[in-house]
Amino acid sequence: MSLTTAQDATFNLDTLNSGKVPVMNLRSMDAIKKEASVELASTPFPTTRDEEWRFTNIKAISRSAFVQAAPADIKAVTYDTATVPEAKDSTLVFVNGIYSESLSKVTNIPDGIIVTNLCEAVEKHAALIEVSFNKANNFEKDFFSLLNTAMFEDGAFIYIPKETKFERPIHLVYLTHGHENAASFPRNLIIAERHAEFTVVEEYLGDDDQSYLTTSFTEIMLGEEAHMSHVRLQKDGLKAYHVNRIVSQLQRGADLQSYTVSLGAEIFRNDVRAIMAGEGSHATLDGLVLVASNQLSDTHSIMDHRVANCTSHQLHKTIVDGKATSVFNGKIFVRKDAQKTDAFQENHNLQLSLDGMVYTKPQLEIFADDVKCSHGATVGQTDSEQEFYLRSRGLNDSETKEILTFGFATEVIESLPVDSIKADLRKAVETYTKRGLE
Amino acid sequence: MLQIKNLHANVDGIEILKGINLEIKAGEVHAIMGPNGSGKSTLSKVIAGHPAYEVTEGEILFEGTNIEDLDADERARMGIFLAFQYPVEIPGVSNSMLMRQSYNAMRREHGEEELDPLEFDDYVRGKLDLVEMDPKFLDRSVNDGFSGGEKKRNEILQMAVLNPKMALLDETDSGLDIDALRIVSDGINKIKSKDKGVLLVTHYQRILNYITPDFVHVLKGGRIVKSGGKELAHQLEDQGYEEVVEAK
Repeated sequence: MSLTTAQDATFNLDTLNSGKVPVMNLRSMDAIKKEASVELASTPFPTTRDEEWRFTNIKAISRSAFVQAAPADIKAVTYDTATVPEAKDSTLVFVNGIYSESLSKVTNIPDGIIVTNLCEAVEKHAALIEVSFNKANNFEKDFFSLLNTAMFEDGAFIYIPKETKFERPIHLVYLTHGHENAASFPRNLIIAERHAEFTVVEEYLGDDDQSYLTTSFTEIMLGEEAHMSHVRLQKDGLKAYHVNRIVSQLQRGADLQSYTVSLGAEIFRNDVRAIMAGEGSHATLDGLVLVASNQLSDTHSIMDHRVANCTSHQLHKTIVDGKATSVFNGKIFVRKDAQKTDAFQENHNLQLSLDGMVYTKPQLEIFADDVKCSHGATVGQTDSEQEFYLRSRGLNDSETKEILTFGFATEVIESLPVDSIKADLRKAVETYTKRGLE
Repeated sequence: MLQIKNLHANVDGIEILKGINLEIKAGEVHAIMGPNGSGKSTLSKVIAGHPAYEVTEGEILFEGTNIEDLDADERARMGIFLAFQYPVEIPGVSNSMLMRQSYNAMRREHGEEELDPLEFDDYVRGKLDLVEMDPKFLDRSVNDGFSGGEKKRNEILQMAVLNPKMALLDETDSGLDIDALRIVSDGINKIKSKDKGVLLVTHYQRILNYITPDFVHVLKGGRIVKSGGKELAHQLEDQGYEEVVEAK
């Protein structure tokens, strides 16, 4: 099968899969993959003429000849699962999109909880997958979610049964290793039954010296009153392209606390969606983006309030230095049945250089009449009264900017649920601010 | 220690200070009193080096050095400290982090070894009692969510930590209830010494019941219109600014 795309794009999927969609050996899943590949063939590669991509030029992706990442030589790859000590015995490691058993460590998982990779889950838990896979996915005519669905070979599968609390965070690590222009497509499926409680950390890592493409997709289904903390760390190499989709579906009273921190990649596009499908559910989608030099980071989010009495919270902060670009498009949908919705959205952008670009667009679409929605966006430099306060305490100009930048970023970090990751990110922010202003 | 000669200063092109002359020697406490809009707060900000204020005439000498061209941080490292009337909130930056960085900036200036976080923690804990502050304040973001009294105590804590030669206290008493005023004043009294100068800017005489000034100056319309001893403060309290100034 040939999967050539849009007229003006040189992006050629033939080079990715030599005509074949990876097979998962589960009839329903393979049918979905095949369908996606067919639809993908007639879906144009996005350009800045598309409203959803207006400020995010991804020609660089279409111009590169990406090839499906070859299975890496695992002996050449190392990962210490104790990097996040809280999750040292609950870490799944994927290399180039494929599960690596030798690098992973998953031990002492309580009965009923499943923490594994999708390939194995297809064999052992087919019934669970049949009823859940691709069910939350509400991306339509979206090139990259189709690409992921067609091309994924593996990913994480997590299942938390009802009334079960998993104390340890589950750490999912995605490494890209090996050759130039490697493309990988991790696909994750996370399911929690009612009253489940758990934490998942997704972490994407790669080297600075090679260009690669990650197209990831995480589906989350939270049952009634399930509580999930979710952290997504994007620490890709600086020549990487990363396009991600997360969609979560929340049943009655479910609670999602999701934090995305983006530090790496040359181009990062993150689409996060929370669907509040059950009354009284709550979603937090906070974000922190640090970009410098020629990085581009774009977050498009949708809070979809479908039913009454749901709440949502979104604090999205970005720091832009050098010639970097940040894009934020935050949509809040309040459907006509979603009375008593309480939605909060704030986007704050700290611009450290004159050459950096910030685009921010809050978008409220409200079809119910008894709702509370607040939103605000700020773009600016550090506050002059804060600066004078710190200068009057003996700190020079660069120390003052450093400390204020650090303070701006830590507001998001402080909410994270895993201590070692908080500490690690504080250091990352320090490194970013001490790198010297460009 | 601090000599101010014929100081004129503008903000946004409007002249606020119109020829201030003042000398503060080591060990002295000077109170600057005046009605709203007299230029009291401007004076302390100009001495501390606020970039929004422009000195158009005259000079400020600190220990014999003209500090006009120095930035606020350079003045601070020489030993000038401004306790803010409205302390600024800095979310995300802990009190201990700010104070340690400031203190180490002072130490570097004097060629001393910097303190690591543990050493600094020992040092700062010794200062908390001065303003009756709980150690948990050290981990909170600077002034973020603090009550008015907590903010002012935090200013005095910073002053105790940085141990300046010249303290400028800008309406440190405003907004304090009686207990907080006592705590803040006690703190200031413990910190002040014969080798330090204090400039106390205040609208009310009340704080002078706790901190005894050596000199009281009345500022009006950007000029010092009357100077005297501590009895002048009582006279102001009884008669009001108008009458005292008229009677000069």
